[in-house]
Amino acid sequence: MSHRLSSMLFLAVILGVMWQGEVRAADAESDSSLVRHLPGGAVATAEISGLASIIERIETSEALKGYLNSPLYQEAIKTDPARKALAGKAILEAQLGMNLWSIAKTYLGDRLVMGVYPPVGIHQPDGILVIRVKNAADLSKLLEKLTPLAAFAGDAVSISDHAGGGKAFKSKDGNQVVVTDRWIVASKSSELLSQTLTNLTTSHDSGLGSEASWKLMAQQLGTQHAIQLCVNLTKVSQLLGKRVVPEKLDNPVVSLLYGGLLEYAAKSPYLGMTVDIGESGYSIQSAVAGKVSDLDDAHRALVLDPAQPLLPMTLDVSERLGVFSFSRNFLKWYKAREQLLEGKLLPEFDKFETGLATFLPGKDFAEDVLPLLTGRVAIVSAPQDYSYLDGKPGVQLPAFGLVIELAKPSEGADILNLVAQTILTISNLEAAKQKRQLWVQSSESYHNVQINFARYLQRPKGDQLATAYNFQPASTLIGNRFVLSSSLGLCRELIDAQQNKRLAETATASPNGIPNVVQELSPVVAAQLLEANAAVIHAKSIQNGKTAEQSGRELEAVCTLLRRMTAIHFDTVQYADHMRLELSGGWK
Amino acid sequence: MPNFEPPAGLLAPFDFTIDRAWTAREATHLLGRSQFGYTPAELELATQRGPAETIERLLNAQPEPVEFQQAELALRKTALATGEITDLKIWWLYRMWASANPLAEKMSLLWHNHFATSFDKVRSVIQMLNQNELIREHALGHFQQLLHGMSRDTAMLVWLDGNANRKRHPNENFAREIMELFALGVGNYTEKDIQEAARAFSGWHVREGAFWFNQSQHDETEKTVFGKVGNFDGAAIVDLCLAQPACPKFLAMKLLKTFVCSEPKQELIEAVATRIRLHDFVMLPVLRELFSSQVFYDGANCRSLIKSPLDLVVGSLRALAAAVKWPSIAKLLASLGQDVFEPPSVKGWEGGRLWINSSSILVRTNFATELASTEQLASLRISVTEGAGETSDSVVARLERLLMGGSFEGELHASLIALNQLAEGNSLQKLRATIQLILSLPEYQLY
Amino acid sequence: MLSSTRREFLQLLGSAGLISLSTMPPRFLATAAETAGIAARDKRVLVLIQLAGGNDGLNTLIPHGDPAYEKARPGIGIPKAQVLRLNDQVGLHPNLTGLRELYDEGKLAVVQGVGYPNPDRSHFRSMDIWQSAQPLNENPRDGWLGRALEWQFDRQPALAEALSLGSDKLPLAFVSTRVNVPSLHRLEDFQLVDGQGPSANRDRIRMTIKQLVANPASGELDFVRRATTTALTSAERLTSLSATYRTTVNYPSTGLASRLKLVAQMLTADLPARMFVVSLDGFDTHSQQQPGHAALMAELSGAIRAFEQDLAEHKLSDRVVLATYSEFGRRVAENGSLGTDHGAASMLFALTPTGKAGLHGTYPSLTDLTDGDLKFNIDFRSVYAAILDKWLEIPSAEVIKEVFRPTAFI
Repeated sequence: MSHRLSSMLFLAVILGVMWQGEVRAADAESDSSLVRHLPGGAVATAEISGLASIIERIETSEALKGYLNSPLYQEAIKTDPARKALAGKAILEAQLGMNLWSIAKTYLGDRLVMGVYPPVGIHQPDGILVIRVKNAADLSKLLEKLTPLAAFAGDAVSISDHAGGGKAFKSKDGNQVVVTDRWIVASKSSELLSQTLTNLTTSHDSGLGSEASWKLMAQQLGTQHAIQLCVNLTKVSQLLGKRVVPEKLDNPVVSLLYGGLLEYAAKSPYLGMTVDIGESGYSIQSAVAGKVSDLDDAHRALVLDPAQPLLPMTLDVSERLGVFSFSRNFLKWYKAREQLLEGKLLPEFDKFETGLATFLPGKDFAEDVLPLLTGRVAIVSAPQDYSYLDGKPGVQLPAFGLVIELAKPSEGADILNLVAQTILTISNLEAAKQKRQLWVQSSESYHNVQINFARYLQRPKGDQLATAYNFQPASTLIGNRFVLSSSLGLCRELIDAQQNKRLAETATASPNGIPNVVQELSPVVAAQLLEANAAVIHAKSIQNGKTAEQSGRELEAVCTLLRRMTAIHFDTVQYADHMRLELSGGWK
Repeated sequence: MPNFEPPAGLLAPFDFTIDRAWTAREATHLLGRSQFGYTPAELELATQRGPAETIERLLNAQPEPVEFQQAELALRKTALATGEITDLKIWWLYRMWASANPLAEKMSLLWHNHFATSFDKVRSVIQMLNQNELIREHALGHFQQLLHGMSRDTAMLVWLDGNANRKRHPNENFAREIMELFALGVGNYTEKDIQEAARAFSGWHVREGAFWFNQSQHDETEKTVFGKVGNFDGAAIVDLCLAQPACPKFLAMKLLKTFVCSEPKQELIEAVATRIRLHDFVMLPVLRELFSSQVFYDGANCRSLIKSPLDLVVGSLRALAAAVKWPSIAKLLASLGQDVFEPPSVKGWEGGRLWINSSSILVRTNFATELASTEQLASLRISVTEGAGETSDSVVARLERLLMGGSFEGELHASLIALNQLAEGNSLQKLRATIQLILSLPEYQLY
Repeated sequence: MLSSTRREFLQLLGSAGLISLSTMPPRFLATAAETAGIAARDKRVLVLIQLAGGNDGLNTLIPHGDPAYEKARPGIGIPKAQVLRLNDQVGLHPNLTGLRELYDEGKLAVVQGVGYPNPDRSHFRSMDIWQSAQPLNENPRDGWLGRALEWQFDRQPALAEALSLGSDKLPLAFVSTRVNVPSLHRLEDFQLVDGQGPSANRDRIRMTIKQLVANPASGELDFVRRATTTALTSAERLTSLSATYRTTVNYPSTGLASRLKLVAQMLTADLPARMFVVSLDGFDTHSQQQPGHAALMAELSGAIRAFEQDLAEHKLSDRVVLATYSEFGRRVAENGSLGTDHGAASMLFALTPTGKAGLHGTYPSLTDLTDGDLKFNIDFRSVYAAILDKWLEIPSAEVIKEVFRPTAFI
């Protein structure tokens, strides 16, 4: 556990450092991607550029020093794998005569590209790795150091002069590394190796750069990124002999939220991913190509109509932990379920409808209930205020509010209130069984909006109250938006937001993009919640064999980290000819 | 009080200068029975200091170290916070493992089994905790106070339908169990006694999570119990039960079955019952006499009981573990059949041979494997560094002393040495394999 | 020297099967005894299927010949034409095709009109009554099979083994204040784990234990050694069997079928357990009963049919009695939401290898009712008496604490 946490923190330190300054664009000459020099036919490629400046910043950062001095690091290096790694590092440093940081900056700092090739005939799948080093002198130094080393290896490694210039190191199991004046190229396949070397030295654009998948990706995502990955989905699908995503999904929630994106992926020639790290933040984007107009009718329920997009709501509540917002044509999706979902799920829908019939006699879910909704749904989460308790629950959960926009507000609110009342009644039966305080239905008028909420029969008292006391269910209708919340406070905040015009109509779209699913998480609020639950978290660590002190240090480290981060966004965005999953965030 | 001198040869103090010397083996017997196993340090201390000092250490409250206090408090608070019984189970298991007063925990388990109450019906962590604290408070103290406390304990009242006991509809559940299971035992009361006693307990209810005497539901009419007539209330019935001659015998039987032998003879039961009466139902002096007695150290009674899952598991952890993953241990104990706070019925765990069946043997064997060869349950404290260049002979001797108090006889000892010699891997892996074998042995299932 | 000779002598006696002191013979002795035809009846097995929620007996065994049926069930009655007729009066639900085949093959008994006096319509209470077989005890501490196991334990502990499959909580039927019945979810629960040490060490440890526990001892040590031998041998058999267990029978992919398949696997591996309880939930059909109940009927029938075929394939049919039970039947008249409410007397199925298949008892009248419910004419404890006295050979009077005449299906 603590080992995993330690490596997680280390990773976080690295990311943190990278955010502290813009990655300098690579110099003009090295500007263009190396992928075009790789031989055609790759299933996937990855390229990393400008690592040196990132490495440099990590090396000199305060955060790293802090980490290296922390007890967590001291514990981590006592483990077996860590000891072995440190020994290996010492040998390497001694041999090359420089420390690991310099080695990394010198040899990995410029550009690095990898390609994976599919098996052809009897050939195993192959890969190729190309590294461009900034300074030719560094490479000749490396050669000097490595050549005598190879002699020790006896016949395990053979050295020869490579036809295209430079030296070739060949191991017994077929791995080859060729080092020339500027390049390190490694592969198991001599064909790939020599073809790549020729391309590099003659600056020849071979097949890969002109392949449709790669071109489309380059066009839709650009090529100026710190890290860029491209998977040729057409090839993958050929290799698999079937679609990369099944025709019908076996999870209704995934279908509803991501069914559109997955259908794009099934038809897209590529899957691309880029990572960018800037002065104050980072952005990771994945993309698949496609157009709404290419989708069949059933799948159109899962994307927004580009002509008249019903954009997701924004819920601008202060102090929020997170927001999840989207819009769908629920009715269309529900009716198309036989085309979108696996057959084995369908009986569950029948059971649901049967159950609903006893609850809402004479109503049909598709015909009578779904048309009451506009299609916009959002969930907002925020810390619970415990004003209804004399004390606090032992485990503090965040409050949730489900916001449903209604096409027919009064009729829809009646049905949803019925649902809320039923939940309340069932909860009360359960509470009685558990000997907890029961809820009494109450209501209040808040800024002229009526809120129905559940009040505890008696105010619960104590500082270790049961988890169930995290909930004070409340519902309200704000304009045409029905709110069902686990917190009266959150309901009031939503009303405030509406009245201060902070419940903006819709999410703001990124340039040319239509947000399909919008998600946001606040690490700072998450840290607050973790700290509010520190006692329980410590106890859980003790239950797993840690001391109170160890667990305290770990929690503090995680919270410090979270507090340095700004809101994390994770959105699905439709563009004219592709769709992206965009993850972004920043650092304070 | 010469009249109450214990009969010769049974409860008379065992003389370690004549019959048998005090060695690590005797120490493991005393510690194994009176605690949930022992730590290496406890074993060495007890071996060095001898029986008298060890028994006094067991009986008299020892200060708890700060780390224990912190962890215990955190675990208790969390159990209340989450309302999860698993968290409360872990709290108690941790106490059994780490408390400086293990006899109090062992006696608490005895009373938990005696007044077996299950969360399955009570459904309240705080009530289960309160009952447990009540038990611990009186674990070595007055049984009268414990019995009176139990008759008003909210978990017990919920468990045995106190609120259903109403003037016009007496519920006999508690009255029956106090006679059959808590104080007297079958054959020492009549059905009529139960019916009458039930009326005395009518109106003993729970309200707002606390004991409440519901006057309006209490039957104020005359009752006849054990031939005595009066307008008894619940407390009077408890006193009547305590005054029955069967009561000390019933308790003597419990103590003997837990600490001495599975089938105590009538004569021995009478002897212990006499001491219980003499000491006015205070457990501490009774236990002192028991742990010092000839019958306790009688060769026939050593290694004659089957370890309960708690004795096996917590005992092994005390001997070997540095850090424990308690959720896995709690699950393991449930699958072995001893799920604290959730006994199978109001009769508790009968124990003895009933702990053993094909399935539980496999779980016990798997426990040995997982504890010795993986980190899934705990990380071991044991190391190979002790005396670098140890031989197989000394490794096996060290483990035999720690886990059994001394060397096995011929074939078994030879098998252990052979295993340690022939096992693959580095010396730590060899050590682990040897531990695994010892923990899997039928001999290790006994104490 | 002397002691070693004595031990060898005892081992010799042991291997010749002459030590009758032991109540739990090691596996190899049991096999020897089996070939001698002694222990075969000790291997009789009971499998109970608990139909939780209250199965609608009226739509399971349908009195199609009675006009009162159609009248009582206008919305959810099974049309006459679809009923799988057993005779002019009664027939099975159309989805019970597998059970119909078993009936035709003379393997299935159908016991009609089973219940108990003063029926209770609470699920919990009635389930307690069925499982404890003590209708008057409001706080039953143990179940009928639990008490049967106790009786067995006091005489032959080796035979007092039982398993509950697939339920989180041990069914009350198995609860005993003395005998501990394990609950298993998967076959792996009954196997030795490998741990992480070198595999050679693991094998060596197992071998050493097996050698050591083969030595007879006395008292508790002997008891634990014998139990260890039995357990390790069972686990080994199960492990080797789960690798080699093959059946040509195609079990349906339902929960009940997979649990019964597990039972079949365990029987094939010759595990010591003699009693199994498996559960099928969902019979509380208050509304829209038809589709749900029909699916449950299909699951029940398909699973039992496959199980019986598997038993036959492994030549185990003669060793197994299987019976279903449910806490109560349902009201004769359907309710307003196309379902049925809690009722009283009902029916049950039993696989019986004793040639006593067919219909037992008489169908209760649909017009002579108590509070709208069927009247029972066979006390369920008579069914238990048959299972205990005639099959498991455990005296029912001691288990049920009352004398009941065994129903004639065994």
